[in-house]
Amino acid sequence: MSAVNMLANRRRVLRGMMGGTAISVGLPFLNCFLNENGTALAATNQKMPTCFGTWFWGCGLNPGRWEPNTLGPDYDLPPEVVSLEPIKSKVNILSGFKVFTDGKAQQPHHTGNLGLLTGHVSKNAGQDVSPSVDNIIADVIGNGTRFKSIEVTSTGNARHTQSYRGGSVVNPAEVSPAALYTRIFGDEFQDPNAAEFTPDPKVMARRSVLSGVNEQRRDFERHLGAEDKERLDEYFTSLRQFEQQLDFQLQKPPPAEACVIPENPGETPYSLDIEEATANHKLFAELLAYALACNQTRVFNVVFTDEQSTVRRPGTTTTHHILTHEEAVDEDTGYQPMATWFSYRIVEQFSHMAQVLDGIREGDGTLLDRTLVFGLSETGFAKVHSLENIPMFTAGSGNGAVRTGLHVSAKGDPGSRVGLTMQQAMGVPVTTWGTDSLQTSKAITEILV
Amino acid sequence: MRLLPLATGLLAASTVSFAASAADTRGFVLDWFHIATLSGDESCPDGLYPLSETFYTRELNRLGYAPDEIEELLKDFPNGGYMEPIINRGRIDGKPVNVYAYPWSQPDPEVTLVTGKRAYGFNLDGQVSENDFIEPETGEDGIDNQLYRALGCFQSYTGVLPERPGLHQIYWDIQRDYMPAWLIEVTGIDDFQNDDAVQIGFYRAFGPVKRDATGNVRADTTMWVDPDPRLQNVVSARIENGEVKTNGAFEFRMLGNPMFMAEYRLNNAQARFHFTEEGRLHGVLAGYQPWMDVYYGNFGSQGWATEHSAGVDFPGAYYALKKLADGEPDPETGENTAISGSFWIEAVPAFLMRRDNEVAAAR
Amino acid sequence: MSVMRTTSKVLAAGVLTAALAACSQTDTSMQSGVSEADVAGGPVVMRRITEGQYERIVAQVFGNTIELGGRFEPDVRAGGLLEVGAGRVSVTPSGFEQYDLMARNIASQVLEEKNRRILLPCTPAAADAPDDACASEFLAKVGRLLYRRPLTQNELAIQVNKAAEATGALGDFYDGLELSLASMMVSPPFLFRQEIMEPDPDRRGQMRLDAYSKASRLSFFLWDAAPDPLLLQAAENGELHTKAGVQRQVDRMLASPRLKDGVRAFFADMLEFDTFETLSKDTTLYPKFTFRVVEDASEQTLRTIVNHLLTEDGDYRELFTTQRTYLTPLLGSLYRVPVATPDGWAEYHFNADDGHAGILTHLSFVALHSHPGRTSPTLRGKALREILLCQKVPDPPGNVDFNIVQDTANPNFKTARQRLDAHATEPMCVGCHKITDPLGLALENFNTIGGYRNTENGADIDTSGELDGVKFGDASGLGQAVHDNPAATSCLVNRIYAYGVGREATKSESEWLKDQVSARFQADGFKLPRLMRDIATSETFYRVLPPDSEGQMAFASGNAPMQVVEK
Repeated sequence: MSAVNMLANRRRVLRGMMGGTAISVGLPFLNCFLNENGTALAATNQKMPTCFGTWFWGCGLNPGRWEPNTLGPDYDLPPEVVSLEPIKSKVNILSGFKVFTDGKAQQPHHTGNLGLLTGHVSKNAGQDVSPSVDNIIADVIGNGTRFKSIEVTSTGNARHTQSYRGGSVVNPAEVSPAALYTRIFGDEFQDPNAAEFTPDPKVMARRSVLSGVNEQRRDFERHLGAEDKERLDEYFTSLRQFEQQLDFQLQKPPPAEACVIPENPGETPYSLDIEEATANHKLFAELLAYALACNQTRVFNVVFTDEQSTVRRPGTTTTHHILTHEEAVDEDTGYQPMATWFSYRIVEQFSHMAQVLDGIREGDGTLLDRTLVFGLSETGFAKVHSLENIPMFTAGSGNGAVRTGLHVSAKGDPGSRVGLTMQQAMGVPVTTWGTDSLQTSKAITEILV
Repeated sequence: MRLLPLATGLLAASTVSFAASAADTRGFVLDWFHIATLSGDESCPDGLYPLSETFYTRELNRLGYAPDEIEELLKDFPNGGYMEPIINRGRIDGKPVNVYAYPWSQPDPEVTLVTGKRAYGFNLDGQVSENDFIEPETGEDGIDNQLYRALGCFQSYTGVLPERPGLHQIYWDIQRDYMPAWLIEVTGIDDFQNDDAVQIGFYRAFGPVKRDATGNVRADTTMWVDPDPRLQNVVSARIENGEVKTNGAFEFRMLGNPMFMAEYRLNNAQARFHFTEEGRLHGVLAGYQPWMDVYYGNFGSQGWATEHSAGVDFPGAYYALKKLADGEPDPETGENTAISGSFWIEAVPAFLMRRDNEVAAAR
Repeated sequence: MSVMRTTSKVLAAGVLTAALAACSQTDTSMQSGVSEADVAGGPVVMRRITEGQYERIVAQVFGNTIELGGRFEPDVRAGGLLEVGAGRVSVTPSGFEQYDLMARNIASQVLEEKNRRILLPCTPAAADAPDDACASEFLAKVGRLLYRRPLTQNELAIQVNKAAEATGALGDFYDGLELSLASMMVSPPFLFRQEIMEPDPDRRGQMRLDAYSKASRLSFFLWDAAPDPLLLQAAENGELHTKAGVQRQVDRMLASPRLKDGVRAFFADMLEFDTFETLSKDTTLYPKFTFRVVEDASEQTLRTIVNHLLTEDGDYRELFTTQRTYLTPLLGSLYRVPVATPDGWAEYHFNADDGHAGILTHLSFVALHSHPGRTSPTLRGKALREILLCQKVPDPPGNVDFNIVQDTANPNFKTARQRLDAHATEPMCVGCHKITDPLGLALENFNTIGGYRNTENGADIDTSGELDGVKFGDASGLGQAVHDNPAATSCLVNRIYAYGVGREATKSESEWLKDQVSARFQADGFKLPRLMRDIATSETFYRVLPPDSEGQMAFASGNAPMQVVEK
């Protein structure tokens, strides 16, 4: 369609609005509210959308103190994972998986998580990064909501993110619960359960004006070399996603039974102080849960501690990271007491996140039942930067895509099996994933339904 | 006196340097100044004075209210109808008057006084009498600290370091943000352990204290000394085994904050202090204060709000201060106008700057 | 008794210009080795404007009172510079959200009643209907400044059309114009610095930057700003394609007080001051460290640099030895020195024996490269190598067996030197740690918040060490060793060139920088403005290769990996 005709159509739509006629004419994306079979979602008794999230922390746990002794259901809870007790039936513990480097130099506190999340270990840090599972999954399930995905970090640094789009592009993380609240539930929020809905003419105008940017795409691209063009493509992808956000604002969202607008948490301090990080994490957990319940997004990424886990207790001189390297092992107990203190806190928060999701009732189940959370760290033993036996959990069954309450151990298998399983559970049409020794086509059938 | 702003713009970029002097100087800005208490089992063996709800009940009784009326008035304590009759519980010519402005218009409730044997301070009058205490740090007898005796059995006046008497701690913490800071300077130090000739100066600064991230007074700041001649309290001193002690007695005059004590006058004052490992200053300053100033500054000007929340019987304090006043008799009436008292002084290191850019306290 | 020295130096801008003009450095045949004619040029890189540049452009075009009202997704560092990282990033969806929010916020302020009187050059025929002529006049005028080039006919037509459309829908001329302006501020020509090439008529078969691209490069390099109207005019009338024209503009810009902005922006980037935002120190252990301290600390170093390099026209190397700096009373409490002004900034000279010498002993260096609760000689040494000497320190090996350093967890080790003993003795560790630790250990007199100390946990601190064979006894000695180290100045030359072109130098560019530019820098006494002039008036700075050509991949040092370090 030529530019002129596009403009004419838009004018028709707008005039239609001013005249008070129905808005469903001419808006191209109604499909997104239907599922694959073309049947309507979110009418009563229909399946609620499946959601996916990652939950990351640095410096792992102590080997031997988190892997249950039994396999399968009814697993025991070793000391560092006792806080999973209340939610155990919905949690899987995955042990024994490793990341292979195939001789490439390991970047401590980076290679492990990249191997697990992207299936690929690059030769040099920051280069040649593949997309992470959350982005692959969001490409499939994330197009029907206002936000394709939401990233948060408890550490106060927007660079602490594990959501890789590929190349050197990462999705930055929100550091402030108050800012996230404004972003999701502020002025632009359309309440799915509101009785009335009137599309905002200003939003329509914005949408229409913004389309002018895309119209000039070819002109903007003309002078660029290959790499710069790729980056401009990324820009246009982001523009498209933003336009979709506006499109959603112009539609009456389908009702969401459990959607409640939470309270604005107010400004909170954020830093690497573990107390502040924990307080912020709790606020983020609640905001994300309601973001999911209100269909604002279906994909989320949480960083609780950064790759090196530089969080620290107030009044102490050392961080979790330094403690894992320098603290002496207590001869009686066999582990580093102060470093291990962090292990408990971390798993407590993972458990908390899962419980917050589980606390939102939807029909016969809970929000957690239709969510799949992939919890992971980046090392099996921080002291020596081991890539063996990296702790991973899942919480929730993703609308029955995954069995829960199991301990699966696959001694020495590539951890990319977990990423593959997550993708298949979420409906990504992938049979083989990963590169070199991380390449796998073996999903974890013990949990994949 | 306006201080000319320096160092903004290109013109007067002044540099400061200081040659090493033969004798050392140390500068400080006061962090804490409050009554020196030594609370414990022995200080008030008959128990501490009760809190306001109790003595308000007593007062309402005295005024003639029936028990059930009193109960009604106090039922929403601290809110409630009791306020008006309590605030105006004084009687002059039978008429109700504000008891805080006229504390003598209420009969003396005879508050509990400290009967313990020990208190911090100095033998200010040079004599040992039965009203005196024994010093817990030096063991000296004849310590004059009637201020402590008068107030030390009020619950808000109890404390022994590191705890501070609650009411005084609040007063000081509030007023120091709005009050030019107090400074201490010790000059002429040849030997930090033993030196028979040093000088102590108590001065006032131009601005209030500066705080750090935890809310305490920030150390190592630059404070500007107010050159007002009325606020230069200089006294010769000596150092004995690391303890700095004033020689003889001096007059201490310092401006405070009109919200509480507008002016501090300590006559016949003495002081001693030492430097801690972190470079702080800890010690005692004592002297005779006009007791009426103490009453009005701490109690009379504060009124019901503080009386009830701090649980200090204000007229009771008035009578106690008056009764225990032990210095400077009025030439006509012969009644003592001043009361002896000791105060903790705790200070953090500071650079004291004077208008002509003489910098004291090189490190 | 103390002595007061009053020094008052004002270096008139005119003096500086005269000094520069007097040194005509156009004779490239003076030096041996690579001549400019031989330098092949490098690829252009489209750079996203940084947070600072965004703010400055908005202030330049619309005035200082406009508030942004949004936040920026993080800039990324590559090759040691955010400016090089700017050529690797794009815009993420959440980043786009924020740009849109800011654009609308800015546009709404620009067109609100009290501002439109000043910023809008015309009045519409009717306030509630489109007025293409007025919209066109406004959008063309601000567009030229925002895009750093005139809008094309097509671009202008689209924007005017959009404004009219939106006005039709919303019933208000200004609302429609506002949305069109906002859409320009999320468009690629605003958010990205696109450098456009054209065939070079003076060199057959070669490419050069077009005039507007030259203007942008110059302006961001010298002033960290979009080209001002005079520079745009010089681009328009072809002046920038002449040697004399470029020199004229460069000299104008070097003489301007705005040179300060450019120099500050460069050093803030090179010294990684953006990482201050997420710096925290334990308030229980170090109550003196508040957020205000962070602001003052970076400002202290930038003022010191600007004063020394611009006002005093000083030798760059002396930044590592100078005892003169600027302090606020707040900084005074951290350095434990008196500050001769009740507020604001005062010049301060540390004494020779004070241990403070040069920017390595500034809070902005020692506090930035330390842990929240204690110092880190390794981090400081690494920062010195990588930031100031441009020397890459290898990553720790992935499979370090920390069992061998079990003993260093002994809490009885009192000083950092003792704790890091294994770094210095274990064969697996020494290789890398001997590059970093001795340098950081020289700074151990400065605790994690920059306060001076002589002992740690009661034990004396030993600050002796060596830098590439040069021994030193303390931090001042370290500063002198850096001053004398040729890597310090060659690092600056390479960094500032990379900063200007938005990527690391190619092989032939590096050779030219080494043979010609560095040699002249040295001959001139290591004066920064001359170095900037040398680069900005060179042909190399504007010589470019077409995209996807072979020369594109010939980087001298290879792509620098992004640093993954604990901060």
